[in-house]
Amino acid sequence: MSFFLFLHRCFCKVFGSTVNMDSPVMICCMCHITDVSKSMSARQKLEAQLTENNIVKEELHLLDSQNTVYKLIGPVLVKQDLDEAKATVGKRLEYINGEIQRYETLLKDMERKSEQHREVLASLQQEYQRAQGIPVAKA
Amino acid sequence: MAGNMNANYDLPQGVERLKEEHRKVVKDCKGQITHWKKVEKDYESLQERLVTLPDKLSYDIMVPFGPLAFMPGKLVHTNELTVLLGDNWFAKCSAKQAETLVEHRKKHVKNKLDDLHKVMKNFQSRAGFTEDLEKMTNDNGDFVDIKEKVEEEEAGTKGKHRVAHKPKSKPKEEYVVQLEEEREEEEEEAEGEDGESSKRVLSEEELWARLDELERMEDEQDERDRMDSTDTNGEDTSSSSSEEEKEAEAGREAQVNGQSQCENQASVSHIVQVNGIAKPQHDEEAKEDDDEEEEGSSLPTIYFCHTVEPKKVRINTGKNTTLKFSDRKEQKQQGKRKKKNGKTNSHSIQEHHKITSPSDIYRVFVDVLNGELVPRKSILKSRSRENSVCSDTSESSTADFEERRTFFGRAQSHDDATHSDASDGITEEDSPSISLYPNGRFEAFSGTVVEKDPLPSSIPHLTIAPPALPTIPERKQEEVSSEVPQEPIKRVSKFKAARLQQK
Repeated sequence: MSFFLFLHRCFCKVFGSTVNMDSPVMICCMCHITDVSKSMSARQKLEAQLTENNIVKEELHLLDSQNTVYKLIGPVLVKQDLDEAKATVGKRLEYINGEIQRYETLLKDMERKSEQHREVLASLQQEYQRAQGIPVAKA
Repeated sequence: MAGNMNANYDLPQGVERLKEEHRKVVKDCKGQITHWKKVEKDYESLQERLVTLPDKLSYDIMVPFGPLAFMPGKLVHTNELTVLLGDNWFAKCSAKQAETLVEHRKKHVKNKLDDLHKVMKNFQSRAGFTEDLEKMTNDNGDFVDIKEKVEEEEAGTKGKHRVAHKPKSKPKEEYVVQLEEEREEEEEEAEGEDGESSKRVLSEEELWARLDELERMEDEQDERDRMDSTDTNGEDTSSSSSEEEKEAEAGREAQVNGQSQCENQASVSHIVQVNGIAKPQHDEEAKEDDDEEEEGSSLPTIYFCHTVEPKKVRINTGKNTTLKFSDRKEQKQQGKRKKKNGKTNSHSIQEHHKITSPSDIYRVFVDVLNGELVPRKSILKSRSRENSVCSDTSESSTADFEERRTFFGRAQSHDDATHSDASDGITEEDSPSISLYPNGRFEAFSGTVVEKDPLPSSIPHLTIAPPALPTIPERKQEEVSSEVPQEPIKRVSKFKAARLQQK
């Protein structure tokens, strides 16, 4: 978000009030930045879940079938089979890994897009400066 | 300077920012470490409790009712525990099994703590590095600013001033200019070894005094040179520009002084004669020394100057010989020695084993034939290829070739001698014109090189012209050494030759 604010300031400085803030470039930028941050936070959450499920898996290994395993579903502790529990946890782990991969690719794409937008902004800035320079030279 | 100032202003800001970031990371790490340490302690107390819990069948406790009230009660089934495994999974297990689980979790916590410690240490060291960097940029650290000063100074050039006819040949005044810088460097290197930046600014008086000193020495050297230049190897003292001489002189002097001042950088100061233009033909030494020069950054500022090739002195006679000034003297002396001892003494080979240039190789590795020193010829020399298929590669070898063919016998030596006398003091540029006169032929290298035994071809040549013995081999050697650099020089030479011919 800070980057967006910075861009906003730059844009205003460069183009002044004549440029509409709803210009497509700025909007795109904004969206991208929020998306990026969202993806980042989601990915971090997934990371935490990944570690947690790993620990659960290991601890289930330490137990034997004599112990009863429960799963908390809402307010209810539901009895589960140990093997079933192990399988469930394994499946969850795989799911989490897949999600992480997906988010990674998403992030990469978004990074690329934001880079493009940044370049566009920079070029616009340069143009403006050039335009500014010419009237100064003339005057 | 404004740019510099801005950079200086930005630098501390950037460094501050960097340090701030480092500090933030370190603080975060510390916070996390405290958190995980607390967790570890909790687990340890839990372990203790688990050990003691099954001791009794039931405990009398005060059971918490809500956030504010307690009720007396009993803790039963002390060995049955429902453990949260994570992610909404529970397991019923005994106290001992619970203890195993706790142990397993403690391992994880310890790993996390180790990682955090490592990260903290990393960032602390990084902060230290940035501090060092800041210190170094601000104070006199080991890093040095390399600047190249381009000044226009008049330092009393003696002799005629050469005017640049071509853009390539820069006016030689610049040589003089950079002498000062070179001297500055010398003195800096000598004095500022301990890294004192205050001494890098030398006094004007010192510089001027040094300049005068060098001028005097140059004059003396010129005198000596003129006296010595009776031989074909006479050094080019009058024809070359005075600046060139001065430059070479100064270089040698600088070398001498450099040696006196700082041994390891003597060669550096020698080579750092400024030419402004980095000419394509660099002496190997020059290149190496130049590199040394740049690397020798023990001071806050090093005044870097482009290397200049040592003065190319025309060495006797019509042969194209461009040799470095320092090499010239050495060879001349060695030539004289050889001349004196060459007849009988076969041990004269041992005299000069010092090899400083490729031409020295030919001087050192000489054959002894008939009690005389017969220098080996390079395969590139026409002499060695008398009967070979290939043609000559250079004008000089062409000249040799022709001379040998046309002027056989003593006349040849005379020719050489006359050439040497005549061309004594003539710049290298004359050589193409002179050598072309007898030949009128200029062949390019055919591409075939047949190495011949140099002895048979050289014997008649040398025995016939004993007086020219010291000179011819030297000249040949010089040719060899200068053959390569000659090629690019030729273009310049012709113009110079034309100009000199006009004079």
